[in-house]
Amino acid sequence: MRLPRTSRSYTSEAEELIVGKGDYIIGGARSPAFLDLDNARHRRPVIYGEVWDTLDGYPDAAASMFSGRQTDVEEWAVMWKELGADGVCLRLTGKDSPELVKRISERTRLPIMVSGATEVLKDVAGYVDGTVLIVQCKGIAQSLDLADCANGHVITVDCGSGTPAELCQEIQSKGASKVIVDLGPGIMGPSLRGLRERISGYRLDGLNGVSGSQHPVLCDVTPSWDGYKPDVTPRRASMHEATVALAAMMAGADMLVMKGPGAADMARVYGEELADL
Amino acid sequence: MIALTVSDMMDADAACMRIAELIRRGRTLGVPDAVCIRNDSFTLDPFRDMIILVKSLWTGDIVLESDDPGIMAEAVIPVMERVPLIVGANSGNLDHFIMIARTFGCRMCVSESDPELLFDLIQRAESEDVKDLAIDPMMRNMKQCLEVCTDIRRLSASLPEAGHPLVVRTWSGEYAMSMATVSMLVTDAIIITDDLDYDCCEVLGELSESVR
Repeated sequence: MRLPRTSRSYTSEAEELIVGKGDYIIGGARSPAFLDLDNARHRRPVIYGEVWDTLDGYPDAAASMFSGRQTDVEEWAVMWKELGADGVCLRLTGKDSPELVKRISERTRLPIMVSGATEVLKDVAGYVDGTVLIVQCKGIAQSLDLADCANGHVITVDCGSGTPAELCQEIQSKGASKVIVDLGPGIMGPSLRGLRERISGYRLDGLNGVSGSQHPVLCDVTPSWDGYKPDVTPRRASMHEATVALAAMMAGADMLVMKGPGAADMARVYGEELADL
Repeated sequence: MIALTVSDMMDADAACMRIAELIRRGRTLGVPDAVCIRNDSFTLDPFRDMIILVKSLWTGDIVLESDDPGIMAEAVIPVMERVPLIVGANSGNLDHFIMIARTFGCRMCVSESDPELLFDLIQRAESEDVKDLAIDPMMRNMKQCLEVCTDIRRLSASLPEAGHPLVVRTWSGEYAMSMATVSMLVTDAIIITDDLDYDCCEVLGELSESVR
């Protein structure tokens, strides 16, 4: 039986963002995630490892996987580099954050994403140069607050239930030239289906040329650890996180933030196999 | 459907313990919801004995796997009222399997790696009035699983033969779980694995509830 061709072509491509010291690219999709059937670009999503400047409230099961180096924030970031992460996601609470970010950038040479209170992020964005940061904003209000002081860094747009294309245009009109959309956290549970639909819908809109829908997509899967009891085994938590990461990247996420090193490694291997690297 | 496999080479005590464990997981995790009995012995008696044992303990779906139609034709009799899915039909034995499926009213899976030949076989089975079919494109890794499942899902819009459920066969361990995950995320496949540990079953159960 002669079978009809099922390949599809698209009128547009996702935007590419250059981050860090110019040697890392995020985005650029020209097909639904990984689909060679539709002439996929052979590029996997980038994976950022999460680092906190305080261990208050940080899960023991995750901490146990960093061999004690999580007690020193710079060492923790270096460990992520040794583990093969594409970047470091710094959760900041301290007043010395700008200097800390700069030191970690110099030591690891990796791209850095920062999250924290608005004033901390403003200080960091204004102080750090020589590397393009990603400023992770929580809620659209923080994205708007940071938009006019982006200083050339990338601002994430936490879209919540809003329309991503409209929100991105609003943020860009306030001065942030480079944005990444955040369509919600990756958590195992009923919300995962809706998240996947939002990511794949946004990706398809972008490929079909809908204005404002070509930005790279971020998915933070670290909240997949939030529902665990303290006695969860690292393996079980890692398998959950890696599976949520796989679900997000197959929907079209270009960038993942991950908590566990085992899960990050699994996600990287999944991404490399699916991207045929 | 997610099936875990019981080999007909297991002794009865070990098989009872394994089935009890699968029942416990099925009740608490939702995975597995089917048991696959595989004819590793290539002979009838152990296969039929294991089918009778599983039937007496397991109340969920049953999958029978053997590519020997002579063995399958006799082994299916004790469990025919449970409408098992029979796995093993291919280009070399299709006519015999069609006869078994029609005679005993079984669901039938057709396995073939060449897509054009696969849909020829499916078309033949449909023309012989086998109604409940499943398609096994014999995918071997995650990448192939993504591409082939997507291709067949798209084909189903214009080709009725592609509308039957897909079967994904995987082995054991974490790679089997990732294959199952990919197939679950692309399409509502029937997943048959050799084995998965408790954690893998738990993750797949939660994923199934989350995305299906």
